[in-house]
Amino acid sequence: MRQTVGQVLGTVVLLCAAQCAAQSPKIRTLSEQEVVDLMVGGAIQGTRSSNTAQMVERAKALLAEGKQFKIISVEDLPADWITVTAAGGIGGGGAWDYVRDRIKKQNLPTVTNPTALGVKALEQHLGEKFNAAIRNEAAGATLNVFEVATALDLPVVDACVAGRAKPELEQTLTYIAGVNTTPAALVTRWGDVLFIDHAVDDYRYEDIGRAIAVASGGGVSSIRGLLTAEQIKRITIHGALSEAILFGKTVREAKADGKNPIDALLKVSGGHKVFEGIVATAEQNGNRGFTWWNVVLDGTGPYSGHKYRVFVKNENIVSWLDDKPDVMSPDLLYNLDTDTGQAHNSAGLGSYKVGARITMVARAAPAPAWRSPKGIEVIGPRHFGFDFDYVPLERVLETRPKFGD
Amino acid sequence: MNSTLKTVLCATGIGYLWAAQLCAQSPKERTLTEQELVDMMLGSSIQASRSSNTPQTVTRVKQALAEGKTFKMIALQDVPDDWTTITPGGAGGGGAWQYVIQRTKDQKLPTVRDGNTLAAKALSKYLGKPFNAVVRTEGDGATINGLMLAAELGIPIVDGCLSGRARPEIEQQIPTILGIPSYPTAYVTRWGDTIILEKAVDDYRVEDIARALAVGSGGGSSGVMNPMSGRDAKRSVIPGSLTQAILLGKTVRETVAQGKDPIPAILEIVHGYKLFHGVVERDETWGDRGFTWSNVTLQGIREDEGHNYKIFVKNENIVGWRDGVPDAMSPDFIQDLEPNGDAHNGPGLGAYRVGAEIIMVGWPNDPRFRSEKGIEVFGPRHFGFDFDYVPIEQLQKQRKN
Repeated sequence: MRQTVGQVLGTVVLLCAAQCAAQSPKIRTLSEQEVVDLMVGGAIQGTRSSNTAQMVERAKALLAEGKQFKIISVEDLPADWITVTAAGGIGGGGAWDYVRDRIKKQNLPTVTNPTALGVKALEQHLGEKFNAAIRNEAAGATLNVFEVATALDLPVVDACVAGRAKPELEQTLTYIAGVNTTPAALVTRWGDVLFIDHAVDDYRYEDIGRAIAVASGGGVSSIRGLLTAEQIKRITIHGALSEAILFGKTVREAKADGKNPIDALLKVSGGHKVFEGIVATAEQNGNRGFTWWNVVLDGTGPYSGHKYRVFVKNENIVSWLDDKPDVMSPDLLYNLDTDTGQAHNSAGLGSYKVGARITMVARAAPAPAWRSPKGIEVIGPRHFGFDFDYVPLERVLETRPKFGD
Repeated sequence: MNSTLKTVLCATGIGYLWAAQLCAQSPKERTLTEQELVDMMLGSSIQASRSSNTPQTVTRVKQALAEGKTFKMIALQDVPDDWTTITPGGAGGGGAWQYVIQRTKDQKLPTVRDGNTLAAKALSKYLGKPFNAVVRTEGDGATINGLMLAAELGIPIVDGCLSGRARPEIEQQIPTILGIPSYPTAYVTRWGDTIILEKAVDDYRVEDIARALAVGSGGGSSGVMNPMSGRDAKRSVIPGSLTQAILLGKTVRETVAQGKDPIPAILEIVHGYKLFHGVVERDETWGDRGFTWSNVTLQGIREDEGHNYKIFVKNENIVGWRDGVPDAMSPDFIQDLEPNGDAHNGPGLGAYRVGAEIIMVGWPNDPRFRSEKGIEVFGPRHFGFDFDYVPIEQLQKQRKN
């Protein structure tokens, strides 16, 4: 009898402890300044041009509505939590015109937050409850993940499954680690709801999502990548949101102090300035879901007389300094506004504005897995059809000419 | 307990179970014979409103019989209200993305067999209930697909069809016209990717999505759609389509065996019109965003010597013009037959073989297709033509005047 009471008591204590732990994971609410810095820094991490001002405006509008931006660090994630990768729609360059024309004629209404709708639908479909959201990539997804999380009152994990933006869905650390991104949901702007119960691999998820985007006016929301706390800890880039806040703060404060924001950014990020110039040409070629650009910069300052070419598939993928391959993915290549240190602002996914003053900054791939054979297979230069091997940034820096800055 | 009572209770229980069993079997299902199935294949080709490969469907059905499969059919009026029917509804994908085909080939990705059955199982799981019968979407190969799915699931096929003829787009079917949505649907690609479309804004969107999946999946996907109650099936399925297919096939077979012209016998069954007798002069075919398109020209022979016939094909025959004048148009049936009464065996989906001798025939579709909504989804304006739908009876009457 005594033993039984002891057991019961023990169980109660255990339950209470579990309960208390479940109720009080260390969730932190970001200040308005942190939210603004997060948007600026999330765009810098994007490896492509971004409309930072618009991201900030939309984030502020959410705050004005009383929404709270909550984050939880990877270390504080309760072991039984399920995190959903719910941000960043799939683009559909070369969308089918006849769909757009018909829907315009039909005057079909759009839904306000297709991603949040998809999260709820997927929860119901699977009979699960998701506890947190995680950013699938940098750039606009930094805002999107909070649009979803604030709508559903979820915290966002201070991490990222890519640490950059990337054109294709299989280009994630989760796929490299062998974690399938399905089950998943796709929701169109008009509220069509699909469940991808099973895709044989993430390439196929990419094909399917891209096809639906092309048939849905050029985009679709993607809700996928259900991750356990253990998987988040093992696979993702920890502290990715904190890094974004730091980047945003750094360029803001440097600018306010009359210092060079890019120099300040290089210092905190461990990045390398690889070029400075003016956009001479930017030629676009978009079809079947992506936007391709071929960009040429004319050097200025210490780079005068040199040319820098960038191959863009939604994001900066490979660059050439005077026709010699330079930085290549999975390493990071940022195109920043030389004056502000923020991501270059240009209309059109991955585009460059002709005449803009740009500084190109390179960083080593943000996780060792990106440089593994499978990482290079999914995002290295050969994946994009180039006939040369990936050369890590450190080696590129040893052999490229030195510029006096 | 008294042992007699026990026995009685037990017997009653058994009796009850036996009665339930009987009830479950009582819908008047009948097993189709090999001859009926072979005739049905030929007749379904004739109902297709496009070129068809009858020998291929006959081979498939014979092979299935040889493997021991049985095919059962139930009349539409005998389907119980509380049954759930299902329709195979995969989509073709003309203009498929080549990079997907190339990559999956490089990956040596294994393929799955019997995607329709896998899709039906996925949808059944999603809905949490089994399917009781299969309904054919359209003419041609959809018949064998419907039969095979029914046999795999061990359920009957309904003697009916969602659209009578074959049609290029999913929304071109009676349930859509009556406001019965085709979703939820399930799709399985050749590699086994499994997709549930829980909800679409309308059936146009189901069409867009199914087509996109096909284009992004090597040019086609298997699938099932229109899970419906028996009650809804009874008001939205065209009755008797399979019986008519058997009759068409039997009639052509017997007429040809007697050395007679099968065309008049076909026209008698379908209450149809002989539209043109000619030879294929030109067929310009292209594939784009999931469809196969053709512009076809026939030069007249015999009684049509000196005349020409043009056909616009979007997977199927959509509009026919005799000497430039609209002569038959969807949703009515427009079929290209060979002189032996079989559908033209063309070189690809809806395509015509240059040099082939063709007899164009046509007949009216179900009156529900001729409603405002039916004409909206399947009439000539839907395909971008700037003229109104005119029923085939009227067009043929005008022609004679």
